[in-house]
Amino acid sequence: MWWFSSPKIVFGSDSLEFLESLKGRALIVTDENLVKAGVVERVLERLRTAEVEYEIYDRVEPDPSFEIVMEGVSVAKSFKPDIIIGVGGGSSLDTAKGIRAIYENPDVDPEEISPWTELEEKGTKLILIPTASGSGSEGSNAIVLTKKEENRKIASIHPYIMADYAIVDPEMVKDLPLRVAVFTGLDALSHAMDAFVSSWKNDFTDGLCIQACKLLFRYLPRACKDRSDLEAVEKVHNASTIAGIAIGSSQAGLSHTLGHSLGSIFHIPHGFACGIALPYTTKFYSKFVLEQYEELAYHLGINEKGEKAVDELVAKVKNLLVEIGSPTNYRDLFKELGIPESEFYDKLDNLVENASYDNTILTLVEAPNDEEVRKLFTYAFEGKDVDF
Amino acid sequence: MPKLFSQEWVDEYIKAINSNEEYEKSAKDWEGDFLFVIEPDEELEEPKYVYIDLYHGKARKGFVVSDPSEVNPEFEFRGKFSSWKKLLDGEIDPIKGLITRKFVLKGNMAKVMKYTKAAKLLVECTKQVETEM
Repeated sequence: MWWFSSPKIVFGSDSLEFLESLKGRALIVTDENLVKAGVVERVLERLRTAEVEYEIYDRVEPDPSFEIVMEGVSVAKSFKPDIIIGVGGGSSLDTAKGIRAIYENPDVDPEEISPWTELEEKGTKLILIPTASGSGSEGSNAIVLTKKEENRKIASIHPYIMADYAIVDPEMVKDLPLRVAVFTGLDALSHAMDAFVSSWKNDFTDGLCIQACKLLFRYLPRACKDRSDLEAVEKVHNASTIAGIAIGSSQAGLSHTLGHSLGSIFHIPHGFACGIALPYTTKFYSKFVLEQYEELAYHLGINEKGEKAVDELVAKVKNLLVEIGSPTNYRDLFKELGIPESEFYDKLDNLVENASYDNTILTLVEAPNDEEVRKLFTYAFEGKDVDF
Repeated sequence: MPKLFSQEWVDEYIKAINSNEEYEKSAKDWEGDFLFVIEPDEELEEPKYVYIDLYHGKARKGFVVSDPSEVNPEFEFRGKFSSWKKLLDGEIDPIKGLITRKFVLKGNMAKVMKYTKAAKLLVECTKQVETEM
């Protein structure tokens, strides 16, 4: 027995109009940059039209912590919303999920939200509006929060975490900075590719993964060059949500095992951390899931079999990285971000240890041992082709 | 071939855990004991209990329990006999089993969530024990 679930999805141009049908009190969960940039104002306009009373909680930070969720819960307890609306990237959307969960279940410790925690629905609606095309959080039942004192991200899933509605409006992402479009797009790709080879993959998500990959390989380069290319921007935005729905039922995989660990220690954009890992994790992991990669390669127009199909798939991912202007290895990423190379090697033991604790390990067909994880990190850092 | 949840089975399971280097590394800081419970169903008349004490990457001791009130474990993992059979045959993923309520885990979830790889390896260790159901 297993489940597939999805929020109701309002998509396409003008889908923010949906907000005008709301009634009650709404708590907006977002970050202050989006408020200053006027992005949140687009949501507020619609709420004012609907005469919805609202309050804004805009203290969400990148890699949101459990403390931020609890602060938002305090705001919710005081304001007593009927609706919680997350507006932003994955950080704001995950924070909104956490706030709804604890607001409705105040006796639950957010750190203890596991897939089998008893969470009760008490009628507070959750609406998620992504302002980036990557996390797919609006479509998934996953939540990722950071335990600050341990420098560790804790990812969990729960059926209750799923939003009631996702509003996937391309208007909300057309002004996304190009660099952000690059790494968020890679996040979406890593979801789609990981979910397709997860031990939890299933008939209900395979098609979603394939379609998300097709859209991303086709439209991401255009969307990363010119944000006025609205067709490409919309297709990538849709692909991100589609991939998010897929990981809700199938889960992320090895690129995220590495990505979560790297991101939690060096605080680098999650999409880069996972996306740059893909060529290396794909090649390594193909020894366990060769047929799946062969099938994915086929749907992406690669007419090879076995290892050759994998090699071409890996080359296709690398080409995409180059085409959208992403580094193809962690060393170049560190240079771009001004992180000294020595820090990677200094923290390699921590990287391996954090990866071994990551929840994505659970849904790998075979979990790599610590030595293999160390080599994967090293190869991804140095840009070496995986040969083990 | 030891029968599931017999003392012989527990001894073999402990051997499998204690010879698994990956488990030892991934659970090197773990301190916590478990009570595993098989709940009766059509194929099993009485419940069965096994206690395992896991400490710093090793199983320190383990034994069959006749009365669960004799032990006070930090964690309890329970499910019906049919679910256990499927788990040990690899037909059920332990986490999916928990989500779909085929198994119930009691204890500090935040602590367990830190040791997901160790949990996965603990289940894999059962596959190294040839078991008579």
